[in-house]
Amino acid sequence: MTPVRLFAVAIGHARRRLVLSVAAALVAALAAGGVVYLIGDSVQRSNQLLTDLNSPDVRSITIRANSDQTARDLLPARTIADIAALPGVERAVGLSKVNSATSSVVNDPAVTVGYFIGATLTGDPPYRLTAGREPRPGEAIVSTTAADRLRLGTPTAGQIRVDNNLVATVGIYRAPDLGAITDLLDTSVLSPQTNYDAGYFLAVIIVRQPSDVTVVVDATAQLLNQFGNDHYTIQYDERAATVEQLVSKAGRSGVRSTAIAILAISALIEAAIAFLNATLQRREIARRRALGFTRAMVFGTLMIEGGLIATVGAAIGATVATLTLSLTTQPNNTDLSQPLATGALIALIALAATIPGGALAAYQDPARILRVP
Amino acid sequence: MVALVAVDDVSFGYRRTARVLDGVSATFADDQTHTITGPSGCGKSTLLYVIGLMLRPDRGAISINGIVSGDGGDRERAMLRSAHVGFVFQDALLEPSMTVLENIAEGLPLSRRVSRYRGETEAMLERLGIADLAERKASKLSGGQAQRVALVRAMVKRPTVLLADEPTGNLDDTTGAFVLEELFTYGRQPGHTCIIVTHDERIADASDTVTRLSAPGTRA
Repeated sequence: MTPVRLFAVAIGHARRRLVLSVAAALVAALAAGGVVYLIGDSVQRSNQLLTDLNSPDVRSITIRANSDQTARDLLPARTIADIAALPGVERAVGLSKVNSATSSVVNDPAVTVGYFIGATLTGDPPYRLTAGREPRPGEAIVSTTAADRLRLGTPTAGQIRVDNNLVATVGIYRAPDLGAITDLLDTSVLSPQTNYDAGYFLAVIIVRQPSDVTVVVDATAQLLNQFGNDHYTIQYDERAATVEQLVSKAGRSGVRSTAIAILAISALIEAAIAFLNATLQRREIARRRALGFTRAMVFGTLMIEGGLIATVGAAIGATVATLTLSLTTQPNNTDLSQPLATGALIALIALAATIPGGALAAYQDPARILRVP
Repeated sequence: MVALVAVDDVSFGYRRTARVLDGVSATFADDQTHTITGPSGCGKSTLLYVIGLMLRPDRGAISINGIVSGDGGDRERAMLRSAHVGFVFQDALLEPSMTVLENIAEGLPLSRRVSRYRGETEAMLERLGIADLAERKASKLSGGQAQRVALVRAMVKRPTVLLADEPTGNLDDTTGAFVLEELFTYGRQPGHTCIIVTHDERIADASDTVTRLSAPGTRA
């Protein structure tokens, strides 16, 4: 028999039993859509959590001197430089507070704008000038917020008073990716330096991976231990220590068992529909057997019918779920392999579920059905 | 005359029931129309379906046009059935949602193109007076029209043996006579034969040979 005729018979079957065909397609669509959405949503949540946990806030370690009253209170520059050179450190910045007394300029007790010397210890300088020019010795760069608070109309032309000296400001800067102290720097006036031998009152270490945080913290504590525990404070985000578990948990939480349950239930329903289909077509199949169909042709026809319906249903379900995911979440995941694989799996499961019904139809006794009672 | 169909020592029983056919032997020659008759439950239809290769006998063999179907597999028997056997049932057994032409196409040999039989189909529809119904859905046909379509479906491929199971059981006398005439005419062509299962003695009397089965398990 030509495959075209077999195909035509299968499509004819599907059209004649339209309610059953739609029901089978709907089950495949719901199963594929459900699993695609479930997995896609889980992946999105995992990715989002991973992004959150990879933020500088989570990867940053802040080492703060408990007091900045005297030079002895500060964090030793050499030790901080050693910490900045530890493996796993991506960026490190030391801040030395020169003067916070800008009250003579900003006559508002609620406003504090610090004046810092910032030394880049590892990595690129975080103080990115977006206007103006690189400062010369003795000059400072000023953030937009600080310029506003200092009422510097044009930062590039402004001046601030530090220790009774007027310091020229040369531009605004942004200090991204410095974790928790971004806000501090955003409201600060900063004089960038490369080498600074005096101690720091604050050091910020950004590590490459969240999992590096605890390693670097332990090493930092060991290096600073000689100066006494009450001399400094190390702050970091404790979530960093359990990033992998958090991401893994967010990705899995019940998804696997739910997906398996959906697959199993859809397979049972598809099998029931296939049985019903075979039962309703008893006389039609018996007639075809009398007209020359082999058992294999009967079976093949029902499998083609089941496969086509399941493929159409699964494709619709997977497409709708993918579109829904892209509309309801950030469209940062354009990988279609998961919906494609899920759709194919659902179609295969539906096809496999058709086997018992197809076998029932193929092995029914056509003579008993057609015989005159 | 040549024995187109030979039933050789055939026995058959359905599962869980007593044997229906027990050592039945018969021959059905070409150029003739034959009837199988007997009381209800004697195995008439069973013998017809055994001859039509729809049932596999427990013992014995069937040969059609010299081809012996003994232990042949399902595929071999189906191919033989498709090429050499045509069925006419008491109920026309048309697919209601399909047109007359589509129903007829279902009966064509599975290994050949439908278009090859277009001319023959049109001529036969014309001869049976239903040419104007070719595109009509089977659900819109009367019982007599449906049985004529079933006749065309069975005969258009020119099978060696035409098997009819109570073909006039659901028809009025006029249509029944028309259908019988077609069956008899077909069976009386050289190289063809027609076997009709019936309990109607008038049909048996009109046929060329009669095979009588008297009771289940009876040897013919």
